[in-house]
Amino acid sequence: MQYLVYYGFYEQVERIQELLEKYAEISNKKIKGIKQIDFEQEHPELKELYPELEEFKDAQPLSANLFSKYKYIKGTK
Amino acid sequence: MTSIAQQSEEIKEKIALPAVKLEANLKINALLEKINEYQTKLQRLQSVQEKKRLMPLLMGNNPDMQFDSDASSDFTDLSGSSNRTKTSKASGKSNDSRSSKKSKTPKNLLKRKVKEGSIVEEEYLVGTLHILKFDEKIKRKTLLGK
Repeated sequence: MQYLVYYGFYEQVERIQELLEKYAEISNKKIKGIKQIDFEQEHPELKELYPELEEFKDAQPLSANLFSKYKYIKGTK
Repeated sequence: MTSIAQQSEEIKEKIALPAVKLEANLKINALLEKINEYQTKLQRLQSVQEKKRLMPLLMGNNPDMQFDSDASSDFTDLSGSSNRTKTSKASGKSNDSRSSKKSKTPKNLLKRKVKEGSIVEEEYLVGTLHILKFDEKIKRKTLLGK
């Protein structure tokens, strides 16, 4: 990636960044089995009781600095 | 000095730049492939879950579907005894120790080849999608090649 920036391949860098963001967005949703989904629907009170439990979360927040490293590239164009 | 500078410029234009561009395109293609794989697996998971909802027998918790004791004894008689005698004659060892070893080490579902329509397909897809999920590791691999 650094080489791409160094040699001025900004289009490719932006494309890679776009794809990474898309990938992160698509895969951010929590994947649950049908039994887990049914269990959560049957016991909605458990979500309130254990809000920090990973199993009950629908999506994980993306870390703030996941894409921060190459953000400056957009400003250079 | 000028010749060295010219040479380095030539190397940069003829070797370095095309190589870097190729690497970038390869990374873009790899990312597209991963995204497509993730999306197809996700779609498959959704259709499998829909199918499971339509057919509760596949859920494995249907109270009507209880294992018949007579049928089970027949099943064990047929499979167990005949096989045991055959193998014990052939190898001279008892099968009991083998079966206990097998039960201790369950196979990893994700390492198996799971066919479409298999009972364990949903678990397999959920596990695979967890592995394919975007994280810091994939980011580092894509951006830095490590």
